[in-house]
Amino acid sequence: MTHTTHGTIVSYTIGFLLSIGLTLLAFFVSPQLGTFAVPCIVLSAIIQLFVQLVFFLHLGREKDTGWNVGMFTFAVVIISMLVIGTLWIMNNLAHLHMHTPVGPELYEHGIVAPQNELH
Amino acid sequence: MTKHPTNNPVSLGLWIYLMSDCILFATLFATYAVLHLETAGGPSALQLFDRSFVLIETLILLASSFTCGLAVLFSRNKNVVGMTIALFTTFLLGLSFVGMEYSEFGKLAMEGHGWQASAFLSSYFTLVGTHGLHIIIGLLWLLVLLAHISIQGGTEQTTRRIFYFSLFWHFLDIVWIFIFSFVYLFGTLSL
Repeated sequence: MTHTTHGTIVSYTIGFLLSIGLTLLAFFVSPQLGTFAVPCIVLSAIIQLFVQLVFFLHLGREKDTGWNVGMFTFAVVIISMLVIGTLWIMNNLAHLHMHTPVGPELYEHGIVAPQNELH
Repeated sequence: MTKHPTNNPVSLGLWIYLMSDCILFATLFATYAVLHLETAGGPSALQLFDRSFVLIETLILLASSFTCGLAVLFSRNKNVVGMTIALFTTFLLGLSFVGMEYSEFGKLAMEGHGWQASAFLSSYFTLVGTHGLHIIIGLLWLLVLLAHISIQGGTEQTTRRIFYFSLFWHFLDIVWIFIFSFVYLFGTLSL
């Protein structure tokens, strides 16, 4: 059997305790850090991601051909493109629309003012 | 002695499914990130979310992940009583998680902050609700596993099935950590 490479009571317990510790850290410590609260939460979430990947999902500790790790890396690349790309485009859009008149000034005499017409 | 459960194509297929599910959740996270301030004049995350309540949900889910891991260890030793107890505990913890989430959603909806109230709440209910739906499907999977064990006892097949289930369950736990951090902890920061 492959107890040593594939999860033991010790590795599950370590993973569990680390996860609880990081969760409590993010919960109780981050509100007291002011501007450092956001990095504290992000960091503890990312550390916990890897703790659980290694101790619970046994990523990279198996005698497999490396397909799992490759697939995981690919997913991380896709997710980064998706999330960063979305935030980038949508924030840019919000920024460009910031000065669009909304409300009565959009309309002069009940029709769309010439400078606001869509072309 | 036994064939390693992760060396077969089923395990790789499950892993591919989990990674694509990850991308599904990433789109929902991105949607929430874009829309979380669009409250349409209604209350914000800071006013709506109860931090302590969500912390308890998180600890319950973490504990269920641990008992699920214990079930994997018991199944490898063909300890039928051990894995039944571990899986049943996982089931109860998962059920309490779903129950807490249900009461939280119900409370929001009853107070007029349902999914139709604003873009913020629509994206919130979609993201957290999709995770909850996965947990419910996981609970059904657990019931099937328990029935399988009660009929067949501990076989090589049981060991593999519990291992596959554990991958799914730990994956949901990781998704929840991100919901907990980015939706609830960020949402309730008062900077």
